[in-house]
Amino acid sequence: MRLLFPATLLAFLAALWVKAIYPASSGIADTDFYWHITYGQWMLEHRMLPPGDAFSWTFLNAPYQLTQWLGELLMGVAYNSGGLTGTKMLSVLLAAITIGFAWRGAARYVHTSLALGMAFVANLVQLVTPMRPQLFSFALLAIFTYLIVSWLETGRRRYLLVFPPLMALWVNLHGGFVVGLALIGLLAVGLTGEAILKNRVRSELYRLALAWLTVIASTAATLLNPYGIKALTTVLMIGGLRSSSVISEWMPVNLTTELGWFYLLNLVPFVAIMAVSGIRPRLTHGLIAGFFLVFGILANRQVAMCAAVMAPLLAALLSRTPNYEKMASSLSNPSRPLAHGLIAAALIASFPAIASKGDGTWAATMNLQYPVKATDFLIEHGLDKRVLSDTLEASYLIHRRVPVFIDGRMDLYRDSFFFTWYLASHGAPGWENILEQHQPGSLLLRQDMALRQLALASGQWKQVYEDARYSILVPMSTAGLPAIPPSSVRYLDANGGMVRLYMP
Amino acid sequence: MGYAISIPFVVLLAIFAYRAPSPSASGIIDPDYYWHLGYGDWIIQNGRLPTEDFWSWTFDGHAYRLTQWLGEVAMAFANQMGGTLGTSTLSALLVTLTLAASYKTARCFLDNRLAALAVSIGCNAILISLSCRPHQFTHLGLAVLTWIVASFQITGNRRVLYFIPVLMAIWVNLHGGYAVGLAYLWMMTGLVVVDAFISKRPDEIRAVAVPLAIAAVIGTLSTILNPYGWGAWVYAFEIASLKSSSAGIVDEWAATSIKAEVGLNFFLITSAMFVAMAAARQRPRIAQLLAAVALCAIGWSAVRISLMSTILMVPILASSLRSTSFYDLAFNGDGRRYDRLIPLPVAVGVLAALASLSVWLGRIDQTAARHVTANMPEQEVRFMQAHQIEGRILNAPEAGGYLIRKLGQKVSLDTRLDLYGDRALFEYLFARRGEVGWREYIERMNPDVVLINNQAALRQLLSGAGEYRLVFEGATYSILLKNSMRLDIPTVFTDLHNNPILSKLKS
Repeated sequence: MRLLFPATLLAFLAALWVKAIYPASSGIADTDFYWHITYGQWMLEHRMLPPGDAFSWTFLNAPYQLTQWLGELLMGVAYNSGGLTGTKMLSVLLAAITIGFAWRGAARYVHTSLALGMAFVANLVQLVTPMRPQLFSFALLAIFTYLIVSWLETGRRRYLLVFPPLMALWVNLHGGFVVGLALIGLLAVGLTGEAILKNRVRSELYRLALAWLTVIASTAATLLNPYGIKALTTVLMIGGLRSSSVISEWMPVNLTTELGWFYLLNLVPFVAIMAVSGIRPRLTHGLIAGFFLVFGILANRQVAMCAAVMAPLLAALLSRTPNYEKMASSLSNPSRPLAHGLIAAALIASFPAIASKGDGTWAATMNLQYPVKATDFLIEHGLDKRVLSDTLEASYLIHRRVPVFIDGRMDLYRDSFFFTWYLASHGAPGWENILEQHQPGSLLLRQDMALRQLALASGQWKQVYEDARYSILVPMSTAGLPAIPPSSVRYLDANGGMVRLYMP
Repeated sequence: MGYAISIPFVVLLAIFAYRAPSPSASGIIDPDYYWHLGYGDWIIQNGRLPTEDFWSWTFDGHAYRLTQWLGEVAMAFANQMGGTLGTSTLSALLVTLTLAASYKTARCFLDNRLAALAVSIGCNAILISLSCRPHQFTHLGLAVLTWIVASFQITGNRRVLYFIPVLMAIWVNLHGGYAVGLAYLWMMTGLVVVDAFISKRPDEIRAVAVPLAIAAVIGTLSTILNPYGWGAWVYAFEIASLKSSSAGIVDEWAATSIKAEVGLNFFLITSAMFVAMAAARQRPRIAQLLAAVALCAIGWSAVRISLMSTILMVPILASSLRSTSFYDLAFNGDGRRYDRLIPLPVAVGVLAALASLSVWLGRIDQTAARHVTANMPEQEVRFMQAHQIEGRILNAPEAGGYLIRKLGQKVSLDTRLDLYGDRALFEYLFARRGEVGWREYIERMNPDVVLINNQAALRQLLSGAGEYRLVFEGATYSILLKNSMRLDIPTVFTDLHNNPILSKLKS
C-alpha cells in the first residue's frame, strides 16, 4: 500500500497549527470563558446539572436552565485535563471539524485543493475565535452543510438519517441549534420551491417527503435534552433580550473591522462569481446562502455561522463557471510523504516552544485582563462574600468561586436587573440606589468606571486596593484596612495624542 | 391633448411640495444647524469671512477656516428670507435637485422614465428625510457629477465634461464633500484604464480615460478657487485625520449598521445593485464591478458616507437593471404604457392639493418642536436668560451650537470639531463619563456654569462633590452653578431615577 501525504493535508494541518499557537484560542480572551468552564467543573464535581443559580449572591438558587450543559461539560473536562492548553486543543479540534467539513463539502463540486482554499478563506475567522460553546455550533453547521450538499449531489438517504441524532447532540451543546433547524428548513423549502418551479412535484414527492420528514424528526430531536421544550423557548427568550443592544458580540457587523472583513470574505466571492460569470445558484443553495449572508451581518457573533456554511455553496457556484473548467486542469494535489511528513513533524516539534512563548506573554499580562491579584486580596481579607463587580470581572470571580453580583448570563439576570446595573455603573442618576438596595460588602471596579469615582466622591467608600487596572472599595466604616488614595491615569500625551482608546 | 408633463416631473415637484413646509426639513433638529446659520449671518453682516474663533472661550482668537462659507451663506440667506420655512424650502430644493440629477443619470441608461425615477428615489430615499445642512450641497454635487460622467460615457460627448471644473469650483466653497466628488472622478478614470487594459481595448483609454483624466486634473485645480486656495485641501486632510471622526462618537461618522434605518437602506440598495448585476444578461464591465465593490466598502465605513455612496451607485444600478428580465417585465412591453404624460391641469391640481396639505401638516406637526425641546437646551437657555446667568459655561458639545445662537454667550465646546481638535473633545468626554481625572479637568477648566446631560456621570460627581449645585433640571440637560455663585437662585433637589429609561427598555 502506498503511503499518501497530500499537500492539502499539510496545508490543513498548518492552518490548525496557527490556531494552536495563538494564545487566545484557549478561550482566555473571551469574557464568558471562565463561567463556562466553571459550570463544566461544577457538573463534574456534583455529577448533576445545577438545579438553580449557584454563582451569584443576587440570584442565588433562582431557577436557571443550563441548556448548553454538554458544551460546558466538555470545556470543563478539557480544562481539568490540560488547563488552558486543554481548552485550546478542544478549540483546535472544533476548528478542524468546521474547516474540514467545509472543505469536504466544497470538494463535492471543485478540486480538493481549491476546495481547501475556499474552506480556509471562508472560515478564516475560525483561526482567531476563542474557545466557547459557540464553536460546537460552528462545527455542527459545517457538518450539516456537508450532509446537505452530499445528499443533494448523491441522493443517498444515509446523509439525512444523521440529522436527528446530530440535532439531539447539538441541542445539549449550544443554543445555536435553532440555526441548524433553520438550515434544514431552508433545504426543505428550497427543494419544494424547485419542484414547484419545474413542475415536478409529483416526481420529486419522495425526495420532498424525505426532506420534510428530516425537518420534523430533527425538530422532535431537540426535545432530547434535560429541559425538553424549554431549551427552545430559552433560546427564543435570549434572542428577545434588550441587553444584547449594548453587548458588542450582539451588535451588527461593522464592515470596517476585522470581523467585517471576515464577513466580506464570504459575501464578495459569492456575489462576484454570480456577477462576473452570470451563473445563478440553484434555488436551494441560493436560499441558504441568502439567509446566512443576511443572518451573518446582523450580529458579530453570527459571522462565523455564516462562514461555516458558505464554502460548499460557493464551490457549487464556481464549479459551473467556464473559468473553472479552464482552471481545473491545472489544479493538483501532490503527495510527498517524506517532505510533507518532515514539515509536519517540524511544526509539531516546534509547537511547544512557540506556544509557550505566546502563552507566557499572555500570562504576563493576565492581571491586566482579569482581576487576579484583586481577587487574591478579596479572599485574603474576607471581602469575597458580597462583591459588586462588572460582568467582565465576574466571569473570573466565578472561576475563583467568589459569588458575583452580575455576570454575562443575561438569561439569568434579564433586562431589568441588567440595565439597572448598567446605568448605575455608568453613573446615571440614582446610581447610589443599587448600593443601598443590595448592600455589597466590597466593590471590585475597573479604574475607568464612573461608579468607582462616584463611590469615592460620595465619601462613603474608601479604596483599599489598587493595581494597574482594578480597584477595591469598601464601606468607610470597614475597620482594619487603610484607605489608599487613587492614583491618576493618563489619557492624553503632551501633544494631545490619545494614550488610551476612547470607546464610545 | 393640451399641455402635459411627465410623471417623474410631477413626482419630483410633489416631493418638493411635501418637504418644503416641513419643520423637520428646516434643520432645527440638527445641533450643527445653529452655528451654520450663525456663520452665514455673520458673513452677510460683515461682508467678509471670519478668520478666527469668537464663539468659544476655550479657543477664543484661534485661527479658523470656514471652507464651506458659501453653503452657510446660502442657509443664512434662506433663513433671513423666510425663517425656518426658508431653510426647509432650501433643503427641499436641494433634495429635489439631487433626485432630479440622479433621475437624469438613470435616464442615460434606462429608456423608461418610471424605471429611472424608481432608481433615483430608491438610491436617495434617505436624503428626502434630511434636514438643511451644507452637506446637502455635496449630495447635489455628487448627483450632478454622476450625471455628467454617465452622459459622457454613454454619448461620448466631451463637452459635458466642461461642466466639471465649474461644478468643482462652486462645490469647494459650499461643502468639504467636494473631496468625495474628486475621489469619485479619479476612481472612475482609473477604473476605465484598468478595464481597458484588462479587456484589451486600448482605444477606450484615448476615447474615455484621457478626457476623464483631463477633466479630473482641471476639476482638481479648480478647487483652488476658494478663499483659502490649497489651504482648503490641507484643511480637508486635517479633518480626515481627526480621531473624533473615526471613533464613532459622532453618530453620522459611526460605521453603518444594518439595524439602523440608514444601514438597512444601504444594505437594500447594495443588494439590489449586486442582484441586478448578477441577473443582467449583459455581464458587467470590470470597471463597473470594481466601482460597485469600492462604493459598497466605503459606504459601510460611515453613515454619512453611505448616503453619498448610494448616490454614486445610481449609474451602476441603472445600467445593470436595463438588461434584466425584471426590467423587461416591469418597464418594457406592457409595462411601458404607464410611462405617460399627465395633463397639466391635473398635475397642477394634485400639486396644489399636496402643497396645501403639506403646509397644513407643517403647521400642526409638532414633531420637530418636540425634538428640539427634548434634545436641545431650550428650557435651559430660557432659565439662564430669565435668571441672567453668565460666566464660563462648560457645556456638552452637542448643545454648543444652540447655545451660541440662542443664548449669545461663549461656549466651551460645540460640534466644530475641526476647531477644537481631538484633545479638547476627548478630555471632555472622558471627564463626562466620570473617568479618573475628572476632578483635575474641572479644576483646570474652572467653569462657573455647567450645562450637562442629566445621565452623565460628571453631573452626579459634581453635585456629589459639593463644589457645584444643581439649579435646574430640564428634559435632557441640567444646569449646575459654582457654590459661591448666585446664591439667590435656589438649589434644586431631584429624585431623578432611571425608571423612565428602564420602562422604555422593558416595553
